[in-house]
Order: sequence, then C-alpha cells, then structure tokens
Amino acid sequence: MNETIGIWIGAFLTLGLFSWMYKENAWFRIVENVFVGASLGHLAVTGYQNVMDIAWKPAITGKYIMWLPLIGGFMLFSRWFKKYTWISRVPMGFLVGTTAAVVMNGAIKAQLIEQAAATMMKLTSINNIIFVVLTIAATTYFLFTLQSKQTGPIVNLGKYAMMIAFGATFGQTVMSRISLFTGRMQFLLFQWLKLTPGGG
Amino acid sequence: MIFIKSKLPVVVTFVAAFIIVAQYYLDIPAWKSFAAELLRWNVVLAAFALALGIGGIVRLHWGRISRRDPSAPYSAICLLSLAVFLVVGFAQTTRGKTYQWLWDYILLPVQATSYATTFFFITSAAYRAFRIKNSYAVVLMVSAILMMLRVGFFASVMPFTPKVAAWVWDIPTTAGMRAVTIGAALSLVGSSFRVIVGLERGHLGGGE
Amino acid sequence: MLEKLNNADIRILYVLMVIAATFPLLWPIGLPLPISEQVKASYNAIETNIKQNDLVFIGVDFEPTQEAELWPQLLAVGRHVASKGARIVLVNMIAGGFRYEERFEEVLIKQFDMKYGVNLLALPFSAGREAAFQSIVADFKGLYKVDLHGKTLTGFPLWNEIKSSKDFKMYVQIADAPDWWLRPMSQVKGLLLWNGTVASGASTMAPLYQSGQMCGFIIGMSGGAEYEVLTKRPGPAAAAMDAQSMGHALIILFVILGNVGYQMTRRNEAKAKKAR
Repeated sequence: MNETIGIWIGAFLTLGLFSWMYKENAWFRIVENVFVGASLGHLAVTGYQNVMDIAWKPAITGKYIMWLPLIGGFMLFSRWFKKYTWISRVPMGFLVGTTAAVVMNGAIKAQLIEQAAATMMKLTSINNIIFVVLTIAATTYFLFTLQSKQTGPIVNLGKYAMMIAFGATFGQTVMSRISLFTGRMQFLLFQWLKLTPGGG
Repeated sequence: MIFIKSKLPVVVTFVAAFIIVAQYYLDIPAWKSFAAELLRWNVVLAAFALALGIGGIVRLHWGRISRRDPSAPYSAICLLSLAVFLVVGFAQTTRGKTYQWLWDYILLPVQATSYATTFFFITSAAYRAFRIKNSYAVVLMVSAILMMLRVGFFASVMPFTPKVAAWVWDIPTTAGMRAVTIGAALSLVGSSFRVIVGLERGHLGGGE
Repeated sequence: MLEKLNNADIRILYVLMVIAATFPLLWPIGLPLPISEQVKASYNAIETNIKQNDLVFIGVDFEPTQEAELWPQLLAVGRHVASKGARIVLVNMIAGGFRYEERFEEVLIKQFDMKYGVNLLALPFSAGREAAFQSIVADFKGLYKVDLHGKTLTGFPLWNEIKSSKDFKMYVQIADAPDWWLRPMSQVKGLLLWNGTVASGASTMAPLYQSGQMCGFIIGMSGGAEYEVLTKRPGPAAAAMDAQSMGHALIILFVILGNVGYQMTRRNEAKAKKAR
C-alpha cells in the first residue's frame, strides 16, 4: 500500500494526539479511540497466533495433551457470565500459580541472594565503604517494625540515599520523555515534511 | 460441588506452582520436562487471558453505544479500529502485508505519540510540581540535575559533571536502588507465596 | 512580576520546550559527544566475549512507545554483534516488537550478508513474559515450532544445530527495565547477559549491573548515541543529542524558575504573617 498515504495518516494521528496540549478537542478524542482499538486489536491477533502455533496446531496433529490448555483457555471466558464464573477458577488458579512460582524463584535468586552477595564487598576503598553503608541504611528504612531512637539516624541516612536514587530516576525519566518527543519530531520533520538538517 | 468450586482451584494453584518450584531443586529429567510442559500451557493461557481483558473493554464501549451516551461516537470509532485490526489480522496474521501497513502507519504513530505527550507533562511537573520544601527535596533535585547534565553537550562543555554524575550513579543511586530492589523482591516473594498456598484468592473471582 | 512567574500560562512553556527540542534537529549545534565509561565497558564486553560463530540471542522486546530510545540501540548493538561474525537468534516477548524484529532482520541480511536459517533466525512472539523466558531456560526448542514468518523451524540448519539455551554465549536484551528477563535467564549457566534499556527504567537495572549479573548495560537515547559513535556509525540517536541537551537545559531552568517563584511567595507570606 502507498507509503506516502501512510505517512500522511501517521502525521494526522501524531498531530491529533499532540493537539490535546492546546486543549481537549474532537480530533484528539478520535485519535485516542483509534489508539485504544488498534492496540487491543493487535494484542488479540498476536495472542491468537500464539495459541495457534503453540497449542492448536500441535493438538490437531497428535500432541493431544495440548487440548488441556486449550479447554482451560475457553473455560476462562466463563468469567463473563456471573452464574458460571466458578468454571474459570481452575485455569485462572493454574495461570496465577505457575506465574507466581516463576516470579518467586527468579526473585529469590536474582534479586535477593545475588544482590545481597554483591553488597558483601571488600571494604578496601572509600567507595566500597560508602556503598555498603548506604545499602544497609536504605534497606533498614524498609524494616517498618523496628523504628526506634537507635535506628533513626541510620534510617535517615537511608532516606537520603533513596532520595538520590529517586532524583537520578527523575533525571533519567526527563531524558526518556525528551527522547520520545524528539523521535516523533524526527518523523514529522524528516519523513512527513521531508526537511533535511540545515533547514532545507 | 463445593470442592470443585472453591477447593479445587486452590489445590491446582498449589500443585502447579509446586511442580515449577521443585524443578530447581530436583535433578529428575522427567520432572523438569513436565514442568517445561506446564510453562508452555501458561503461555497459552496467558494468550487467552489477553482476550478476556479485551472482551471486557469491548463490553464497556458497546454499552456506551447501546445507551447512546454522549461519548458513543468515540466508542464506535474504538470498536471500528479494533474490528479492522481483528479482521485483517485473523485473515492474514501479523505476517500479511496489509496488517503490517496498518501497524506501521496507524498503530506505531499512535502508540509512539501517546508516550511522547508525557514530554509536556514533565515540563508542567518541572515548573509547577517540583517544589523544594526540605533537605530531601534538595538532594533529589541536585541528583536529578546532575543526571541531566552528564549527557550531550553539557558533558563536553563541563567535563567534571560526567565524572561526578557517574560517581553519584554508581554509588549512592545504585545503593538506594539496591535497597528498593531487595524490598520489592521480598514483597514479590511474600505475595507469590501467599498466592501459592491459597492465602490470597482474589484472582479466583467472586461468587460462591 | 512574582504573580506572572507563578501564574504563567503553561502553554507558553510547552511552546518553548517544542522549539528547544526541535530546532537542533534542523540546525545541529554539533558539539562532540563524550563516551561514558559504562558504555565503553559495555562495548568491550561484546568486543572481547563474542567470537566468530558464537551463538547470540538478541531480544527485541520493545513497543512503539519506546522506539525512539531503543531502536537506535538495537541497530548499533546488533550491528556490532553481527560484525563479530556471531550466529544470531532474534527473540520477541513483547506483542509490539515483531515489526522491529522483521526490520532488524532485513538490516542484518542486507548490511552483513547474513543467510537466514544458516547464521540468522527470527523467532515469533510468545505471550507470558517471565513464564515464556522460563520456558526458554527449561526447554528452548519445545517452546518454538515455527519461525517469525510461519515456516517450520526444523527446516533450518541453524535450528538443528542448537540443542538448548546453554549453547548460547550471550543474550543481548533490548527492552524496558527487563528484570522479568533477567530473573529466569540468569539461571542459564555460562550465558552472559547484556541489556540496553530506556532511561526511565535504568535505575531499576543499575544494581543488577553493579552486582555483575549483567556484563553490559547502556541507557536510553544517550547510550545509543554513544554506542553509535563508538561503532563509527552515527545514526538517529547521535543526531538527536543536541535536542536532548537543549531540552534538559530548559527543564533545569523551569525547575529553578518555578522554585524561585515559590520561595519568593513563601517569603512574602511569612513577612505578611509577621506584620500582622
């Protein structure tokens, strides 16, 4: 299909969303709803393809055990009917249980054990000492049941460490948002208006 | 019947989770193979769960159209664009040329721009919301400004700022975020465990 | 003056920000871009660890919402991996990433003369995120039956050479703060993990890089720009850095101006209270 028509449609949609910055208007509302519909449509199509490739095709060509997740998947739709919601509980329990198990295992190793081990560094440089002290202080902040006069200064130090971290996150977020806007401007200037650096 | 409606889902949750967790600790090939099969079922069920969420939104918009709400025309546009993507997607799959055109020139611009509008919100927040009221806010602001000054032309005109910013990133920022990571991981493990042993049942839905 | 400062129409600020972020795209300032130590170390991680014919996963896990930051990273880093002669398997776990996977596949075939099925494969989207990655760890070949284009995988020589995820040297993941990728993939013994992420998610991944769980880590558009310069292929990220810098300058100015107005108002209110 025509690339030029596509670029003009893309520009129409882009400027429609940006028009909200002036004030709410019908153009923005139309584009907003196109966004919601298109995003949902794409999710549905990719989900459908996934089911076809991983479950349906193997199920109809001999791997009969794949009928179990297929039937379980259809059982999930009983959530839409109040009287029959209970039918969806078994597949939902399976889905949530397996996801929780995967997350739990991964979190214990990668985020608890490895992170704690990495904090146990040799205190041979000032940077290492500062790092360990700040990590312990910031972790102490999360022990809400142990707040006392003794832990107060440590918790305060931890709060400052976290403020530095959140400030850095804010600074990075500003960078991120500016990048996203710059990306759209590159599309509007160089693909839609066909300008070149130098203003030509 | 009570067992099937209320106890069986909790048992299924526990057994499925147990099989997945135990495969890390048991060196039994048949067990690992069955756990891998269960993970593939999870992928299939996750795809059906996507459809469940989409169905909910379709019902919401359809309700607005049938009630002739003031926002009904916009809901109609939403459902129309959903329908176009569904029809083309089911006919061609994501590998079809028409579907790729729709993705490149409709979905991509709207999704990219929707996040790009946060550029304006951050401007507004910087001017109106970022108020320095105490020492914590001073520390937060200095850290934020250092991060912004460490890239691009600031880094070349003020060569000391990347070094200072790199130290702030490597030491206090990473230390603070490590604590947040450990705290978040503890809470993840705790809530996952509660789900697995049946103390949390919100995901199973209401009713009997 | 104080009232004007406190009650300024926010749309004026929007216009100033748009000008600051747009003009340098058309009239670049062209100051040099210094390369940070972290980007250099991440570059060296690929340069020293990837050898000819090594198997490398490249995860294309971003949507159009992150395109501006992550597409330049994917191009720069992916080209670097390809230039080392690695055999590449593209993976996608985010629904919106498949077109970027296809476009990147075209880049690799055209610019590096890679042969699809021989030293390059593209795998389709898999729902389930962390569970799908866990599937790759537990039984990689069991998860996938067809490739991104719908063709049966057993017809490709590269697929038949791979036994499991343990055969791979490195997983280069281009995604938004993917701790959901690192948790399962860190279980594969010997697999090096390398991440390019968005700036807003970088602080989440920083402790994981510091602990050595990742061998490389670049952040946002600036990370992509520095990587482009290191690999001597300046691209869209490097071109946008002047706009990025101008935007930062204005944001810092707005923070300062907003607080000047706020502090002056507070001082006036305190004076008025004292006078009463």
